[in-house]
Amino acid sequence: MTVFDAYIPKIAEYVENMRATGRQISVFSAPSSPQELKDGLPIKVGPGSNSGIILREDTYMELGNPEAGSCAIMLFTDRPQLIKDGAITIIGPDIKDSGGKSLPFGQVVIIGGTGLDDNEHEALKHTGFIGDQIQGYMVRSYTQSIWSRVSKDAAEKGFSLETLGRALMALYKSGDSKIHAMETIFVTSGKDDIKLLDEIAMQVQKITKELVMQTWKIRGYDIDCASDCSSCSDKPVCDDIREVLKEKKMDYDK
Amino acid sequence: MINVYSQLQMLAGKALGGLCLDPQNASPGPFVLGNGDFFIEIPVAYGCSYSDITLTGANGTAMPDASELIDKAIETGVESRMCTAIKVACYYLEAGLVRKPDLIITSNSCCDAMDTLGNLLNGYKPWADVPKFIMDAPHSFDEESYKYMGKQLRQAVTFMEDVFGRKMDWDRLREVCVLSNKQDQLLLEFQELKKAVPCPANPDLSRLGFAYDRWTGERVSPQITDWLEQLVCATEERVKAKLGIEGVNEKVRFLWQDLAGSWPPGTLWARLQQELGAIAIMDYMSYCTLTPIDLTSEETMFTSFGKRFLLEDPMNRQALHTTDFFCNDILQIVKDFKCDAVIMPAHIGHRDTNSRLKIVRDMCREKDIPCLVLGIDIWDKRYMPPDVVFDRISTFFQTTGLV
Ligand code: SF4
Repeated sequence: MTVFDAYIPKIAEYVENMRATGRQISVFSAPSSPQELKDGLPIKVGPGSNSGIILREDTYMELGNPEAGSCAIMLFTDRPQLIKDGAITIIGPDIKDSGGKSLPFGQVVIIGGTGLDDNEHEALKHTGFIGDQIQGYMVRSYTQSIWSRVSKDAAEKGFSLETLGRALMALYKSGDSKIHAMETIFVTSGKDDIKLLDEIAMQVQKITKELVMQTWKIRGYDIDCASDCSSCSDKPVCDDIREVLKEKKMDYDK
Repeated sequence: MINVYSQLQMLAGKALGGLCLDPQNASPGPFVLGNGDFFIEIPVAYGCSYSDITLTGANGTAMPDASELIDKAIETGVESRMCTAIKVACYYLEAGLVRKPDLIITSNSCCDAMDTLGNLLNGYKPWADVPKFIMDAPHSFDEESYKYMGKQLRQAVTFMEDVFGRKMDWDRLREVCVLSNKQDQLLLEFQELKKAVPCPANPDLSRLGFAYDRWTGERVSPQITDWLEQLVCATEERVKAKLGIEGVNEKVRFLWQDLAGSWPPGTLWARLQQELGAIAIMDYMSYCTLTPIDLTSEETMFTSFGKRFLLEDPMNRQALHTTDFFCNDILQIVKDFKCDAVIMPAHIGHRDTNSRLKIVRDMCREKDIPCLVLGIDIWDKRYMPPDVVFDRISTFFQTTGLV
């Protein structure tokens, strides 16, 4: 069991709430192996698939411009049975329905693998830096959430959120052999829906922070300074420095 | 023939050049002085001059008499390992060379040196009668921290209103923020273009654009938008034509994980480009991560300001937060901008960063990223002369097989 297990049902609940409020929802089922995932896609997937840049004039639409709303969540578990492998859920309009307009964007990636443990967080996060690996799709260098562009060319070829889901699954699965199952959820239905998702994201962030601390602890660095002055062995040194500063200040004030 | 980049450089250079003791954001209104980059949209909308005395010190190190100035600063008895930009700022202050402000706004960010300078400003006897507002910057980056910082910035506005007896024009602030958002989008756009191989334009234009936008009398004005638009358009053309920086045969792309400082860009980086085809793709200041200001309500606006202050101001971003965050930025930049190597200048004043050097080195080794640690003073080239730094970098590139 990993620390994120409790959040997988929360995401499912979020999707159900969206369904109950009448949001347009489409669900696709993708194959499992990286090669099958890539087969039949209208665009190339893998290192060097694009130059890393989509110019303004070549842009069909943007996803997750912070003004429109943006949120990204990555969860992982060592119990792949909690995940519907290959499921791609889209809440809201797809790329072709956007008419080229920027859409709010929420991306949830849920990863499962029996060998995954809490320490895997960093490696999985770095696998998620997709850079130049999806043709016609550029993730902007913006560190808070996902802000991306789809090129006119890719849109014309039929690039959709299902394509994106499959491409992400292929990249994650080929980047980390411990991944056995993966599910993605995309939300484009509105800023308010993104905000609701963001509430879950904030809780996840808190857990992630703890994981990061743990990872550093294993490396020998305690980044959580739990001590205070009264318990610190260097307190006498600090006290001396403070005394000297006080005297210096008194001299200055004279 | 003068190309568009030279023209842009000249324009920005004119506004920035010689800027030192005079207020950076000069305007006819009252004069506010701070020890850091106060949120520029606020003074612009309020109609007052604003200066960051840290920047005043940093600019001093670029003056022709910089060495003399730095030596005088050392004589004032400032701690010897203190950042040179701060030493010079302290000297300017103690020598009575800084114009007396009408209001002082300081914060404890982002480094120990700036905090010290803030304390000096607040305790400076000849200015005892100047009203002062002190902010507390938390070392964290979450919604609560942004709100906490945003509230203090909002209180700073109320304080300004009380001191100057004039209200903030909220419509004007909104207008300024709209313009500022547009400019930030353009800065981000230029940043994306630097991902192209070869790099289409001198990457340092990002830093110049940022400085021109924030630190001159033309701050957040339509002229700046125009400048940035021209920069992006010209560079897009070069990306389409797959052109690199004019006259440079690009061989190595590296991340300069520090501030550029006053001497490295003009001397060291220029020489590295020309002689080795090595390009400093990114540095602290040109790494633009600005989130548009959320104009939904006054509260969201100030929370956005708080976020920018804590997380997106280049120096706060790298100095105020965890080593994990710092390392992640390095990895993301290297991947996104296809950097072949990381150079850690390890500026002598950056004690926070310097305490992370081993961690960064280990991380780079693990990820197979060549990494060089220098140990220079980015404000005083006498500490490790440019020729020596050049030789060290050149040897590093040769031994790692990059050139
Ligand atoms: S250069 Fe670094 S140490 Fe010097 S004032 Fe700026 S942030 Fe502080």
